[in-house]
Amino acid sequence: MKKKVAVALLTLVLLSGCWDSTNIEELNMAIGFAVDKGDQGNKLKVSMQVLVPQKISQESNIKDPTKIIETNGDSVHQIFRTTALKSHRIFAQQLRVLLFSEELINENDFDLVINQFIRDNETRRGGLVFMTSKNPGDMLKINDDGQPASTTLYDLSENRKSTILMFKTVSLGDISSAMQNNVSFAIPKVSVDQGKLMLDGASIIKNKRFLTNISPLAVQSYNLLTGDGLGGVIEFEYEHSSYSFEIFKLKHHIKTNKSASGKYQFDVSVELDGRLSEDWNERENAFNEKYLREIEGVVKRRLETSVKDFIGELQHEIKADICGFYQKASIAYPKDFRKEAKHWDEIFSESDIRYKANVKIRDFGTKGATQSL
Amino acid sequence: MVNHKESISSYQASAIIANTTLGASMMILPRAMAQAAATPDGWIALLLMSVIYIVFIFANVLMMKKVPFSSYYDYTNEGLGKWIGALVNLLIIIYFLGVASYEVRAMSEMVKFFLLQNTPVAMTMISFILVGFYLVIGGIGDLARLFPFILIVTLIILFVAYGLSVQEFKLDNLRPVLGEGFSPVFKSLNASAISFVGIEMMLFMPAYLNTQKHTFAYGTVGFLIPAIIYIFTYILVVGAFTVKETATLTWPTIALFQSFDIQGIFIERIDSFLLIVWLIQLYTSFVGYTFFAAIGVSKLTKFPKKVVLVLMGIVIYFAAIFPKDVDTVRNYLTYVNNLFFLLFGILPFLLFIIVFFKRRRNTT
Repeated sequence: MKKKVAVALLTLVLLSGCWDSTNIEELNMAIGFAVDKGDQGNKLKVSMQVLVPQKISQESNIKDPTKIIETNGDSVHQIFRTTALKSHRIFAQQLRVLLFSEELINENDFDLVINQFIRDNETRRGGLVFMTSKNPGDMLKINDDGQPASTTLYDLSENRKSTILMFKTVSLGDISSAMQNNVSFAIPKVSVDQGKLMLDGASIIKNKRFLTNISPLAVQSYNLLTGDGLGGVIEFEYEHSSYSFEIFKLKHHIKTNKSASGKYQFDVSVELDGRLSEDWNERENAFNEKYLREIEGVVKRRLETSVKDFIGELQHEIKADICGFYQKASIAYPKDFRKEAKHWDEIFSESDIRYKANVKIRDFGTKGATQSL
Repeated sequence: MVNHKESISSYQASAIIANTTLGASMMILPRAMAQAAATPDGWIALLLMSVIYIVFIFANVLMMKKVPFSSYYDYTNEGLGKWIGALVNLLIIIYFLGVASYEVRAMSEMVKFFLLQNTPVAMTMISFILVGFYLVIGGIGDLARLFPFILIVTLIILFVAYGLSVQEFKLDNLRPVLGEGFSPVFKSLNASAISFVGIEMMLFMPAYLNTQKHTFAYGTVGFLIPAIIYIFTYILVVGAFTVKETATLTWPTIALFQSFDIQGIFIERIDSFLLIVWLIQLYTSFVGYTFFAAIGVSKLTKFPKKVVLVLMGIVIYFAAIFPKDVDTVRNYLTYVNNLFFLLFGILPFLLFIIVFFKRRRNTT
């Protein structure tokens, strides 16, 4: 009997609490970080968007349930701990978005800036990364009818099926991998359009530093070149009329060759299936096979010119291989590539990239002609 | 504890071997392989290593058919005489306790880093050791009933988790295949060998088996389950991260499950499930090793089992807290690995020759 009582008391003592528990009100659950150059001679400034549980429980859904905490410092981890001087501990398990400013990445190597995030056991490698040319801390303050900026950015990234102008999502882990392999890459860029956050092209990172930005139209060409596009609409003009072509399916293939002189040749071919979704031509007649073939030809030519322009820009002005051609080269010529890896961007600039598109219009919606036949 | 009346089936024996083999390696193997060779061909090394081990199992089974023995502890005594045999048995016990305390240390490091940051390490270690001993006291019958259940749960969770992580997988990261020939594969062979430690359990099992017919089958099945899991782990992790990134990550497998969220079902993250599976697998490895170590100690010293367990608990605990940092733990592991090759790679063949001729002389 005594033994039983002792066991019962012991379980009461042992099971009544958890060593590591923290009340949810005492946690600063961060959903977004904005990392910028520091004020007053500090290297870094981190703005943290944290959820305030009390605000969520309130009835009004309109009010933004987050607050922004800004801290300056010289290292990321110290900044988090300095924050504890003025607020509860930062809890980063729910982190969704990281925003970096161009200026910061201009002056510091990217891998050093993200070192703590990768190393930490709380911040997940899946957090999405964005770049911005403005003050990223201010961007976190922009709420969309009560929806916090971090959530907006996270949700926007899911729209890649509807627009081809959007760059693929890049996670913290992706950046870490790219930098470990020492290759150039790009990150989606955020800007503000009429008081709202907008994904606006991409920022290119070369040698771990910020290099330049590319426009949404260049991103379209990028998506068509690498096959990263998931869908969306391509608009073009032909004989003073506007047309829209909606992509259903994008098939992508690259053939890698190397000439005796050591010059790489990449033959990229892309097959596009889609719908003629808008047609401003007055003599439109999609019921006619010939008319459709004609439009297909136009789409094909427009795409090829714009992608070729983009390749030219990448090779001769930007001089950075953000399209992953290095991987194709390393697969096809592993032994040569080991020597070339260090100056791959120069080899990429001199290589010969050919682009061929093959467009098929599968259907044209519920309306096929404008004039009576 | 040493209850010879309880016998186990071949299926239960494979579960014991598989659970003992699956341990800390599951989380660090991809990094060890990526550090050993900078090409994504580690999976070929793992395949080769599996074949080598299966040949090894086959050789041992042939020898066991020719010269049957009930336990490796008795076998060494028979082959090497009372004194040298006792010395070798002591080495085996040291090896078992070494692996067991390594599992305890790995468990506490992982729990401290990922789960309970403020809980003292001694607390997690001691409760882990006590829960392990609870199962050891139950004897082989309890092990044999619990392990198949744990194995099935593990396989289901791993299957779902690995299935979901395929979205991160990029085939190009695993190419080119053999881009730099076979030399990187051979370099990483050594790094992979340690992951399969656990198969030696089959040398201690014959006493408990209800039939000796399926020795090769249960050994191979018990070995292949972890081998296949390891190969898939390597392929998925390197396929998601590239070799160079994998080489820099402390816990590459957990990092893989931290790099994506699942949308659409009510759970968004599966890393906690993976940590559970891993914790349980560390537990089963620990129990497997301490059980056979305890049998060795009681055979050697004839102490009552309670005394044996108390002594072992103290030794394991202090051996586990002894290394100062993670790097020391790794060095300590190389010694354990060398002991494995000595005791279970070379010695069985030596013993076979000696015992074979001894027995023939005795019969004639």
